[in-house]
Amino acid sequence: MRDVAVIGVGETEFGELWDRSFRDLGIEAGLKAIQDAKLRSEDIDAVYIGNMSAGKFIDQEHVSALVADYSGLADMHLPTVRVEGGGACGAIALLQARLAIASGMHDIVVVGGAEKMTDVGDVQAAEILSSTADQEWESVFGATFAGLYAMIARRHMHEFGTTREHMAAVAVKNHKNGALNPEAQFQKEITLEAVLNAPWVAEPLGLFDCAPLSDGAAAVVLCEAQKARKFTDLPIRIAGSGQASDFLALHDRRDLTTLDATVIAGKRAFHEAKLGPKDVQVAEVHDNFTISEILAIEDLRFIDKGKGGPATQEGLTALNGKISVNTSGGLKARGQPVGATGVAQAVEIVRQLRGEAGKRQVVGARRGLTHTLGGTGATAVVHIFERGD
Amino acid sequence: MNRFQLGGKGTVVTYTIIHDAPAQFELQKPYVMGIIEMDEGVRLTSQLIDVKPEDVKIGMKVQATFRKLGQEGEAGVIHYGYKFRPQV
Repeated sequence: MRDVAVIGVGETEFGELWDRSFRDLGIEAGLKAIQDAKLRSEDIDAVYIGNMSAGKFIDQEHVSALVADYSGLADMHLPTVRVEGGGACGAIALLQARLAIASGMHDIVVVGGAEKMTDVGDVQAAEILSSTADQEWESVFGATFAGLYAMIARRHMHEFGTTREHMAAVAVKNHKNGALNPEAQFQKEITLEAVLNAPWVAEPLGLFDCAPLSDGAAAVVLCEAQKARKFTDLPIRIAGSGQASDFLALHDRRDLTTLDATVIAGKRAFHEAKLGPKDVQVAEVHDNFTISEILAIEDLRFIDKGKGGPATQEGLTALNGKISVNTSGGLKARGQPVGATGVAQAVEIVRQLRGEAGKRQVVGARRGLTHTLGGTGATAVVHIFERGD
Repeated sequence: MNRFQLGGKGTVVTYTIIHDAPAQFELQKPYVMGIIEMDEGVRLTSQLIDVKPEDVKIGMKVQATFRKLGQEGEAGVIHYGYKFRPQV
């Protein structure tokens, strides 16, 4: 396999962007990444797009060709690929684009992720998110997406003594980081009391335990590593990638408090990179709910199993802590345009490794990790990035 | 894959009280959902009924009962299935 590096990144602001269409967002992120990489359109070999559900959110399918068209690339007649995989679609698109370059088929691929979620009402948006769970064995009985994660949280509390305060500490930390990110949806700190006193969504998860519905897009440019030197002095190499799946329905899983897909995707990525959790200084993990970040830092072996809550409360995952987790603000504060998530996580890690993360810069970051979930963990993807110098 | 013939009895492994519900369940909220481990060893996701939300506990013994789950619009097909209530 050929080595692959990131040579350009771009993203839009995230939020309830009433005046921006799916097309506007995709174009902005893509063009920013292409300009960052200093590419000409004829350098691009293919476009990969992570998008969960444009068909349901904006009544538009075939968004792969659409994004290339509206990025001014229609007359290049590039191959375009749209990837679906629940919340993990952007991370899978990145993995597939990497493989296309590693195989020798392409040299330069633009990977985008986008979702426009606020053209439908909140209740409908929540139902669309729930469709990544098992419709026949979970949703039809009334299990919502938040409800399924709430059942994971309840079991984690039961087995390990995790508290609501532990989970709330995730939201407080990620809002603190988001306040330092000019592209975040919520650039505002919140108090522990505010999280604990928010209305219930699905007990024991309150409103501030949940990531928001968002519009936004992100893009990265991947390039064969040798060729990458022509475009940048500081390529960010993809050192390892891992993907894993699991039972679609939560109740069929081996263990309700461990996401095996995360464990296995993490092991595969670390194995390929010949690295371990201690070698990583910064991580963007899938905090669609506060409990999800606690599971992720445990299942990726940054923190011992069952200790994710206390570790967060003690600041081990804070900016420049033992490992800096979700410096962008995470899904919780940066926002959660589902298709963009995996790509936006990569954008943040690249910025951190380049030393371009401004007020939220992790000191001495040389290696970073992204972790992205689909559904309630029936898909997990992990990528490990390192400075190419 | 194995087939199981279920006797209808099981134990609550975890649960949640749902406050933000899909449109179809709007009139029922707040309602309790649980994951139930059946006596035969397999698990199911279902509503827990005939019990106050504050009285639901992990480890609680429950049994399946036949109930209406929902319907497809005002004049649509009615969905029937199982919900679980405390064992008597």
